[in-house]
Amino acid sequence: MTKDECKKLVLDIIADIAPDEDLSNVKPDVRLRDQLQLDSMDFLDIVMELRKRHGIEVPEADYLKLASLDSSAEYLVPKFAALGK
Amino acid sequence: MSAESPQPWDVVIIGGGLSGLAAGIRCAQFFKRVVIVEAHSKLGGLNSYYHKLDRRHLFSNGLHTVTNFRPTSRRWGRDLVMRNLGMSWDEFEIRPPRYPSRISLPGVTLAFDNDPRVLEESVAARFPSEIDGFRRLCAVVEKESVVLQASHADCFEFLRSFIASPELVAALALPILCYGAHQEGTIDSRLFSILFRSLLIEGCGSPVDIKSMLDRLQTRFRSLGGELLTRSPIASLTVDGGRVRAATLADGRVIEGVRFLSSAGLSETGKLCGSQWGKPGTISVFQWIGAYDRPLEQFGIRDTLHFAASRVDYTWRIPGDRVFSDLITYSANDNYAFPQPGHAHFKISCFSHASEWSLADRDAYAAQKRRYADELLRITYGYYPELSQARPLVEDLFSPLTVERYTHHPGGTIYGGAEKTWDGRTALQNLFIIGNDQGGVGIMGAMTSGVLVSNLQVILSKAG
Repeated sequence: MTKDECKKLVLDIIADIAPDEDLSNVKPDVRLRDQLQLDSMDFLDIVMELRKRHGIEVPEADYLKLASLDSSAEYLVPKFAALGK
Repeated sequence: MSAESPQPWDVVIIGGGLSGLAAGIRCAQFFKRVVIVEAHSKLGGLNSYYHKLDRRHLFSNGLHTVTNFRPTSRRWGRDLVMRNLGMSWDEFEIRPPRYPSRISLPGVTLAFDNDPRVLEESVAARFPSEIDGFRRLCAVVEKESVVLQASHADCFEFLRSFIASPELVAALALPILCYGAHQEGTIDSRLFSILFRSLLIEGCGSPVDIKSMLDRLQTRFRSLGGELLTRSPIASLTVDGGRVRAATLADGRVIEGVRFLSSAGLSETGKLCGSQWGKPGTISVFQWIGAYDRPLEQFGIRDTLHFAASRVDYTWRIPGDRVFSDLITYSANDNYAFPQPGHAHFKISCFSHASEWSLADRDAYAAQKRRYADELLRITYGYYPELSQARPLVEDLFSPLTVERYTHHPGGTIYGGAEKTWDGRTALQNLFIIGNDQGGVGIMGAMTSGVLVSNLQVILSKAG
């Protein structure tokens, strides 16, 4: 799984959680909360969906790693690699 | 997995009512080991059920209605709860009313229904000069977010800032007070707004009985690996260095946990810890339930809910020396659009204080219940004359002592203590309050409380 693929799957999850948000111009290096109407509970949904859809466990201590698309990709690539994906 | 396994539970939830089940489901999505500890054999707490007439009749004792029927946004009401539980609204089979609901005071009748225009038109017809203020009120109330703080403003002052007519203020306050005002005198304007939005603007529905709802929640909790201990009253909580370490059950079993959520009430939970927290409530209920062999509409009952006041200048104070029949709530269980006819159960509820009741003399207790029921029925026949000719198959009476016995809330309080925690926190780092004493009222309020406190204080917290 490449970084771009990881960013794409996070965006796909956000599109389902927050269907009203316009995701066409999300800046990868800016915190998602600063550019989208997402609250802390929406981030919990992202964590849930990562587990449901991709079998990725994000422990509570790592929630902050999902702050932006770049940091999410940085964090998820080795996680997918560990799963052989 | 045994309750006494040496490893502590990730989350221990006290109470298997709607807030405890919702919290359990939410926590079980994030933690491996979650246990709900319930004192009774049945789940539901205040919203439970029982059988009568050789088990042919299932009575739901708390259920009057389920609010927030209309979906709004993912951050509020039914969609907030459903997405957090990972469940769909449809699986609860909650049906809308077949008849509108009514608010009545001498000289004032308002209707409300799941279409908010029904109430708006009803206000416009009776109080034409107030309609602009009413619309402004609705606009403010509809911006209300899920509460985790109090406004410390008085709900009557809040209403008067939009509406001049004392009659209309009394009429609009009536259903909210009856539905969930936890303290006498007045309630917080934000809690008021949340209830107003949930009940009067977003509308109501009902499952055919509360058991079906509890069963679905229980199944979901278990499917996530949650453990449920019934018939397990808690004797005490062991506090150690500002944290709860374990719950000791009445039978001596010890349940160790990392985090604790309690729906037992703020002062009741304090007592389990050997501390004095909050302020016990005083508001309890006296209720008559009749089961009929025909649909209630055939007795002229064409309201789904009916909030009735016998005077326009009622006070929100419950006298201790008589049945408080100034404010009555009627609920026609089968006036929802169920695919098959529902239970033709008619409920008449008014407020009462537990201090007025005593079990010391069984005959006197039974006579007191009968006397109060007869007075309620006499008033009821004024609204529904045809009912006086009908004989219920079975009737049942609840006093505050009945509620006390089944919920363990001293005084049989139905809306919790007089003080709320709002954010769920207590003096102990890893113990949080859910349900009524966090501010959650009604079935949707209790479930909202369970998921919100779980999210904000347990799953997202660094305290664990």
